[in-house]
Amino acid sequence: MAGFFYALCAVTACVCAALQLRAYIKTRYRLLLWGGLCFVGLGLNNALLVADKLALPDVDLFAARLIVALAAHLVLLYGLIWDSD
Amino acid sequence: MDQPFIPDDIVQFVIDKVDSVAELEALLLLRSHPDHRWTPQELSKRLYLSDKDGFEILVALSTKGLALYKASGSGCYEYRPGLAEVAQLVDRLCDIYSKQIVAITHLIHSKSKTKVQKFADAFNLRKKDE
Amino acid sequence: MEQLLLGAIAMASLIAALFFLRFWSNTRDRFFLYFALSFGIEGINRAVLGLVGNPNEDRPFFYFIRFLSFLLIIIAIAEKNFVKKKHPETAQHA
Repeated sequence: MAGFFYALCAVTACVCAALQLRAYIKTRYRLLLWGGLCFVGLGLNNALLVADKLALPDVDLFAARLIVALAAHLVLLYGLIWDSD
Repeated sequence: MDQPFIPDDIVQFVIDKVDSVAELEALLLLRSHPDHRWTPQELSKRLYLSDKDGFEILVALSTKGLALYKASGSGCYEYRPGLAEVAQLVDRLCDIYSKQIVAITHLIHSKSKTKVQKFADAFNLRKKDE
Repeated sequence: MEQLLLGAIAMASLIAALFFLRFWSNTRDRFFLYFALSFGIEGINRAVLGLVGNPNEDRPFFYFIRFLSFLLIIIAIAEKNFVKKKHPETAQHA
């Protein structure tokens, strides 16, 4: 059940990432680049969560997942602070 | 007071293609000198913009199919509306803008208050691909 | 270390939410409100995860809240695409 919901989250994040990066390529509005990269990270974060719980029971990816999520949020924050005039 | 009348297709064109008054001024400037090739510096100076703003406007206009980029020398732009209908719309917009500047600028400003609107627009799948 | 990371993520998420809240205040586009709520909820989710003794994301509370935050984003995108907003200027010039 958890795996299903987290997988859905991962897919949603990837769709968001694709939309933003596609728009960035067209418009060159940098906040879209940072947002897109953030959602790539969030998608990866959720995908790793699914992998952690279902596919790799012997390995604990908790710290790795958190680092990915933090990096994604920091990229977004950078964009919001510097490129959202 | 007379309610200014702007035709629907002009309203739609402004909503779709014009993001700022500076961009509109740039478009009309390019149109008024169709044989001239503008560098971003030239345009910025003429419109009292920063070089960065001028450059971004020219990029935006060429992305929207209203100007053409020529990579000769330092790189410059010339007025080139992609389709005849677009050229006609711009011609009429130029005329209307000269007569109803307040209405047009109000339309542009009400469209999106800040640049971040582009962030939200990225998620609009139905917007026609330029 | 995990708690530090969770705290940092929670903080980053809440700050992002504040930015989106500001965008909503400037543009009145509900899209940004959904994003603000999404990031806000996710920030709280991470904070709670950091506060419990045994952070287990298998628990329904956590995955439900995470899913809710992404559902808000889905709703934001859906509303942007399927709800036709009449532009105030076109209404005048019909």
